[in-house]
Amino acid sequence: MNTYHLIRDLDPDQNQYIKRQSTLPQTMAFLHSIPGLADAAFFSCLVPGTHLKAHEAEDNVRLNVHLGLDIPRGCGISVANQPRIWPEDQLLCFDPSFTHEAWNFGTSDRYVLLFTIWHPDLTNAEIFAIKLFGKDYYRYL
Amino acid sequence: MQRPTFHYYAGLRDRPWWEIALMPTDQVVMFKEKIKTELQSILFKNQLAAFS
Repeated sequence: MNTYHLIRDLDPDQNQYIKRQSTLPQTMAFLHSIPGLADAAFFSCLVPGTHLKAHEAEDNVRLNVHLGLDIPRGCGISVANQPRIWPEDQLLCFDPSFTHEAWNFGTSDRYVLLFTIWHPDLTNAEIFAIKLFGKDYYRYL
Repeated sequence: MQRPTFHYYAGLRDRPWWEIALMPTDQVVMFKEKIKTELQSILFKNQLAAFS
């Protein structure tokens, strides 16, 4: 999977992401209009013949959201053995702590805008703590 | 040495797929077309090298 990062809070070099605001204004406006937007967003390119093997996140403090941009025939995603195809007019949202995989068995590249939102059950204080302590925040709980 | 597996769940973990109305359908469609145009501009400028 090839990625083009738009938001990555933990990256020490924020300058390159600030530039996105001027080169991709509509994309950034879309992202910032999402309630509960978390700390990661990127374009994902999956080339033909690729199968992202089943994997899972260690936690579910963030949910993954996909906006399908260019979905050739032969592409799909499955979460907990429940397959879906990216809809034309809706966002796909899933809990990444469930085992998930994606594939492109088509003949052209698959493009998706992927971003994360905070789990709706989190309080503002919990989100603050996560941002403060980073990836290993839960070890301090 | 195998790394110990640690799982932490922030809240409900009762379903893999979530149906959340983050944005009305018509806005999704509108933004999608604009975002596709911007993505094409990246690709046309041969900035694919920025994909890593």
